[in-house]
Amino acid sequence: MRSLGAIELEDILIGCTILGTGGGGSLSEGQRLIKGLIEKGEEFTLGKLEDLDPKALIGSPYYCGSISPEGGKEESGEVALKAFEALEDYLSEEFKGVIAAELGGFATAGALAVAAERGLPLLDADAAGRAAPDLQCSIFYVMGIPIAPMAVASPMGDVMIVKQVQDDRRAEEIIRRIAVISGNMVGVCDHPTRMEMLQEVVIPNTISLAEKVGRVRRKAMEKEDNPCKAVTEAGNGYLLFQGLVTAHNWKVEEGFTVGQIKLTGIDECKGEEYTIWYKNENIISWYNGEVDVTVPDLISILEKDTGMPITNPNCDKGKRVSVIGFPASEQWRTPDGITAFGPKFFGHDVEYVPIERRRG
Amino acid sequence: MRTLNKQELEDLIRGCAILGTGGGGNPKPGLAAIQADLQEGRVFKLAKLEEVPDAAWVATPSIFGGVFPDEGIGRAFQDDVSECLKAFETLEDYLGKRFFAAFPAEIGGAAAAEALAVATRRGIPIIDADAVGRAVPELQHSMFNVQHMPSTPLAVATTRGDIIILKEVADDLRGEAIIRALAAINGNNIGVVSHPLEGRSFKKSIIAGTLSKAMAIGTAVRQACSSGTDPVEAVIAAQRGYLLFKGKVVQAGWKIDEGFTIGDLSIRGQGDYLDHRYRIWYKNENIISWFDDQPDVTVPDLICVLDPKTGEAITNPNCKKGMDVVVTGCPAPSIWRSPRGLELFGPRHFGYLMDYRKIEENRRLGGADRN
Repeated sequence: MRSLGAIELEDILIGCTILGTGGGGSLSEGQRLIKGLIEKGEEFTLGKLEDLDPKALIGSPYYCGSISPEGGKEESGEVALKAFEALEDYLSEEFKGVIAAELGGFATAGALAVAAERGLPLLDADAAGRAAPDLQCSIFYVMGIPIAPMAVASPMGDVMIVKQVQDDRRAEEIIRRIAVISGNMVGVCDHPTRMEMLQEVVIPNTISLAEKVGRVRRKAMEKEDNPCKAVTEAGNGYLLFQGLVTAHNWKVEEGFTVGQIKLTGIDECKGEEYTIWYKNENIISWYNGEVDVTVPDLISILEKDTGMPITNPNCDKGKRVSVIGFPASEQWRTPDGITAFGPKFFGHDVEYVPIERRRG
Repeated sequence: MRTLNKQELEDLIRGCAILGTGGGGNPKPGLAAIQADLQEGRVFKLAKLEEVPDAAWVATPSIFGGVFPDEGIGRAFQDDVSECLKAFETLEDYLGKRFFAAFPAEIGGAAAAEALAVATRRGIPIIDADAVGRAVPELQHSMFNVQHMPSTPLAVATTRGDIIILKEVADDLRGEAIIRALAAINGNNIGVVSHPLEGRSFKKSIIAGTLSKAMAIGTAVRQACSSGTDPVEAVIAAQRGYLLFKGKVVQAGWKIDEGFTIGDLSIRGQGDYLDHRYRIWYKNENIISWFDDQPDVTVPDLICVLDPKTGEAITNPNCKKGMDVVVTGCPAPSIWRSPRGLELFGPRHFGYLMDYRKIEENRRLGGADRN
């Protein structure tokens, strides 16, 4: 177990946003949430998987909804904590730890906040190793960890328990419908799982990886090094493109933010074109019209000069950006993983080719 | 507590369908299911309100969704029953209680049949009372809500095996929105068991005898038909109501919208009503009517469309162009005429910016001379 201070938390949130591939919620919302808790004197603890009792029950609380432009989201309150406690109440057992469903500026902050508010450790792991738009784009789904019973709380004050569900897709549909009629934001707590089972399936050390990514960016800025290069190296990634945002169209569709970003190359990419399509998260990219990188591998858009992540749909026309890619965790690169979270899941008739084969 | 025989059950469903004001669910599948259940030897029991012990728990099973035409019923009544049963058991487990009896969510052809089907399978009675005193489209239109009593915890079950417990809701409007959102991903129909209540508070908040009253209307229609007298007059006398219009349907459009069946009926007058027109707008149930473009009757009062030959109810999407119909109306239970009752279930709730006028006042102001 390791206690996290303000600087570590900031590095984690920025790193999570970079690994959030455009989604995972708003970084500034996440920063505000965590700042408020630091000011209240709450303490944050990161726990290694082996630090916890094998019988400990772990919950996965998060906020579910569409990301919207910075500041456009209404106050969502402590709905994730409310869902977390509703599930404890339903199970008549207290959680002993918290696991983040995914990495994202707001997503991971939500799990961190629930952990701090309850004085519990956040596990140094998550169920995606990145951010992902659908509930079933989760290692829990691929490994068959049941999503139910799950609890949902809305900002209006509604609390429900999904006791049983046909499958994770159906759970996704249900939660999404509830989010749509709840100002596009609900708190969810799902996958209540004992530690002994959890440590077999989740992706370990992802929070420390995010922290490292955030830290090297910060240090590079301090030393006036290239922050995008530092981030790329820290995540064993690839610099995919450098360009100017020339077009960006998006809309909110069934609770998802769906859009397309077009870039015109600058510097060593001059004369080239790059396109990214996203559904909350960046899903697929094309280099001069040819498929470049696809999910489950990571596509992140950073501000070229600062290495700061740009969440969708804030990638405004005229911005100078670096696009970087990282390989997905091995857990995703199984046939089941590709079925759940490959390009075809999003309607793109493209075979998944690992980023290192395309770019290595 | 008494056992209902086949004729009583048929009279009950017939009467409930009439008071269902076009909605309340299609009575035909439920009636067929009851007849099949009787053949299998199932027993249907009716308990008087005072027979519910103070410490016993009761709840109401219902199907949320649209009302569908005879030929377009996308699913079997049995699916409704199995969803309601699953939700019923879920709520019992959640509360750690067994329900002593079930009560219909409203007076409607399907609502009563659903409560009967669940109750007989659980070996419990239905109670001679319902949550509304008529049929209504939405969760928040209950006498319990008028009295600020919660609908939760409530359980929802789908044909796909999903089971959801709404532990608490901000208010019934939110409960309604959530149930409707779930219905929309379950073929516009979903089984719900709500309003779990202890006998002592249940009995204080509800009108006794609404099922007996519906059954009496059903009996009156049957007897009129067999004795060759006018069944519509029998309905009007039994419901202490009014003849509102008589004519031929000239237009009948409807659609399924966000889990509701929404439509419009236009009727051209015949007989005493020659050269007059009548129009009814419905959201599952008949909500508002116009006589020659002047507002006539609105919710919470009842607007019933009947077959002039048989006196049977015509449920909404089954009311088609070319049909001869009679429209009757009657006053709503007085709880719905209270300020809070009207706020929840007056014409303004449905977007009609007009004040509610009691049906009997409208009649005195000229409606009666039309008869």
